[in-house]
Amino acid sequence: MDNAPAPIDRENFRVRLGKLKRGIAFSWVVNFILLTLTLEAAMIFIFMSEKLSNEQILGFLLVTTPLAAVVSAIAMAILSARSWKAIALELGTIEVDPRTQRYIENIVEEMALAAGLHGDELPQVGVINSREPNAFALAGRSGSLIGVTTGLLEITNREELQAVIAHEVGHLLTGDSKAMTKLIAMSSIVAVISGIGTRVFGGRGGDNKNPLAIVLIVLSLIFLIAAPFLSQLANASMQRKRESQADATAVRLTRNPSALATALRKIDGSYSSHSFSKKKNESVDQTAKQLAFFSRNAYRTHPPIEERVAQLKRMGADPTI
Amino acid sequence: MLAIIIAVVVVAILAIWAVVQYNKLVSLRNTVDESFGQIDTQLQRRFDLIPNLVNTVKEYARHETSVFEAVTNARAEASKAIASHSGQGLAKADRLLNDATMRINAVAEAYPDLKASSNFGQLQEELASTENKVAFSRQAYNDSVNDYNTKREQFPSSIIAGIFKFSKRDMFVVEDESVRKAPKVDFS
Repeated sequence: MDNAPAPIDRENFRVRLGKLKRGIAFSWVVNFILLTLTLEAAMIFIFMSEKLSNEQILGFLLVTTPLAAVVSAIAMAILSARSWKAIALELGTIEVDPRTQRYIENIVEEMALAAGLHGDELPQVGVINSREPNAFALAGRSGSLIGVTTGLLEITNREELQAVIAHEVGHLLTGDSKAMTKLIAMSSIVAVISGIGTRVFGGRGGDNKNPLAIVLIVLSLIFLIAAPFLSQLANASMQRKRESQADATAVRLTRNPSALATALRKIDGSYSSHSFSKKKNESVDQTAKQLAFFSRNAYRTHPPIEERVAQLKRMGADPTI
Repeated sequence: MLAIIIAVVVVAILAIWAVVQYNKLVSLRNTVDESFGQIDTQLQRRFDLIPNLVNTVKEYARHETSVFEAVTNARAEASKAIASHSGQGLAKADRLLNDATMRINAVAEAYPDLKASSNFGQLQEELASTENKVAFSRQAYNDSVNDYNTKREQFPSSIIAGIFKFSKRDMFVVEDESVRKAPKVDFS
């Protein structure tokens, strides 16, 4: 807090925020279309007979396409209510001693206040038992949660933890956590449907095959196999922008770019000096790589540390960090 | 006929625009009021913590009566200042409470047993955090005032602001250097 306040260009900030929100809306639409198409492809692949005439194919599509769209709309509505809790449950938070709990809650409240969030908007706090230093934010219609790992608590001082939490509050503030939480849940639905679709095959045979029907069935199979990757790709395109935007928000909230920069360095150093076990329950990356504050091997989704630190230096962080 | 339709459409568009601008101004002004309320709340919380701190310190430093008296007086004065709910009053309360906690902490320096006690440690975290919370809610308030004033002065929304008398809001200014610098807590 005693650093000179970083010059903050609020106009520019808002323009970039607007771009990010449009980007999120875009990947949202892409995922909706993807889910609808996946359902459609699954229905074609499982149920459509290759003996149908062109008119019957048209009829089949006219019935199944609206059905697929309605089902994915319902899936999205359910996801917006439940996905964050489901993901939080899967990550598994632990109880910590009241003093540590209070310490984290205080920092989260401080950052929420700086962001103008209060009352119901105040995020819950969760601690994940993992030696990997990391943090994430989940959000849904009914609330939000900021998670930190025990590893992060170990290596950061108060200012650095504050900066990391401010970064996560930044995600909540732009609403991208909400979108990402749902997108991740949607990607898993797409993956499940494509998994089922490619395994269940309605037995077919006989003569009088319609080439158009065969083409459709083959295309469906190809789409079913590719869908999970396409979905990941649609999400990944948003990731880097989200991260640098959240870093900028963190600086706006803490007015302390140096703390975030040193936190990034410490986390990076910690990853270099340990080889973290890849056991499932010890690795946050397994489940929520896309949500995590820091991801070492996911340069596709996170800007490299050097880039993030350089951006922070431009915002006024100590140039020697 | 065509001219009338065009006129109606233009008026309708202008009316919609005016409503949107008006609502935007109202929502920004509400944010300003809300964030002002937060400063108030956080100062009150800090105010409530002081008796706890005094009692904890008393256990170890019973004879420092003059300090406790001064702190109690400062707290009473801060109470009045908070009750005014004005920007100046809050700034004054902030300063008074800050001085009070600093005085107690200065006393605590001389009592290693006190400093080592877990109760005192926990209180220190609470106090430091509430102090940060006051500072951050002040920052959020100033940010919201900045947003509101900008919208109010910028053309063309300034027309609507003028018609409906959206008055300028003032930033929360901290005159005292010691208040501006929230004490740093280092747990490393």
